[in-house]
Amino acid sequence: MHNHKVINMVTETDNEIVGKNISDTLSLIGIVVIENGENKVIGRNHWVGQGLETIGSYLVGGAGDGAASNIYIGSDTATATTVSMTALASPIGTAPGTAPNTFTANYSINLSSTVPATVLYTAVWNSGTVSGTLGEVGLYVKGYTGGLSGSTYATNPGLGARMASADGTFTAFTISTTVALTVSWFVKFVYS
Amino acid sequence: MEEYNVEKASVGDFIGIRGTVKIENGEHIAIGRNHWVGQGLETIGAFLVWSGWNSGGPYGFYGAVLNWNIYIGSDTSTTTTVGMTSLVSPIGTAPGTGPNTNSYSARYYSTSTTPMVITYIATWNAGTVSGTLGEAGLYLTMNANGVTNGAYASSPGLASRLSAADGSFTAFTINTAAALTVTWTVSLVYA
Repeated sequence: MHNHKVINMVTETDNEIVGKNISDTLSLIGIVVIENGENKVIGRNHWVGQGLETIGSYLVGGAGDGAASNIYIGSDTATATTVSMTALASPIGTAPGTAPNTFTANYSINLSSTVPATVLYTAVWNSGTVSGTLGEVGLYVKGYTGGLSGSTYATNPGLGARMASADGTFTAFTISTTVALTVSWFVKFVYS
Repeated sequence: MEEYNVEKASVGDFIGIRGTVKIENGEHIAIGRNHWVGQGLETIGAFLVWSGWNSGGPYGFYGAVLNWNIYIGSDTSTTTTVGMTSLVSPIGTAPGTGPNTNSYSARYYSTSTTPMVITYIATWNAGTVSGTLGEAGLYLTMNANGVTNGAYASSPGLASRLSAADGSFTAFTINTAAALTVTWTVSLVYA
């Protein structure tokens, strides 16, 4: 790749890239909704390196499981998200965190329209099963983290995206233990 | 499904998946951006929603390169739509004449925002294909039914297309005295 230059984030030759139009790029956007009695927050996630890697490794993977894994919550309010983060900063419960009582994943897509497709992950903790400050949430994914050189499948899921109060995305709150806690994580695919 | 709009955005909010295609054939060099089609989006999304792999049953989940290839076609007038599922006028019997060699590789940096780059390369030996080159397609494993049961299609499907009709490059007549190489670079970027 010597004597080449970078054009639009891709290492290429000196030729100009033409034809920028809608659908040139697929953008993955994560929006998180947290509901816990009177507490309701909405914010955008921050993708971390493992999330990007597992999505990309699918494109070079041969066989294995899908990526859907779980959602965990934590109490940290001071640690901003970085791309090298691999777990929540202060999970509630033993790491990676207290698993929700229910976790589901659903998918909505219209193959002939540019309306965004949406993957919706929903996690519900029954009332009283978690407590303390809610300052961070994490979408955990599993995939071909070693798939860059083969099709090795990671048995332990890792943090793929995070929403944190420390990023200024939402205001931390004390979990109400008398009602259920629900986290809805929307991953939207947008043609752009 | 409920919809939400959140205005705040900063680096890391988005992952953008972009494809850039380079075609080399003797004196001809063309570079352009691909257009993703619905099937391409669907198969990536299915990976995100599917959680298991039933190795003993009829339904398995597979990565995108279990079955993959690059095909070329001669169409110069049909713009890409998200509903497109194959090349318009493939060179050879549909889905097209397979390349003599193909390979893929990936580059990733776990601790920086440097894009992850995946490169798919297909080469047709001199004289194995001819005619007008007006379109190219990246075909990937289709976990099209993975939304509900993880079934995959045994034949790859069109995930992304580069076409002269979209204005992405200028069609040319294939030089049969030289090899033809298509390099499809997919980058995942933080945005």
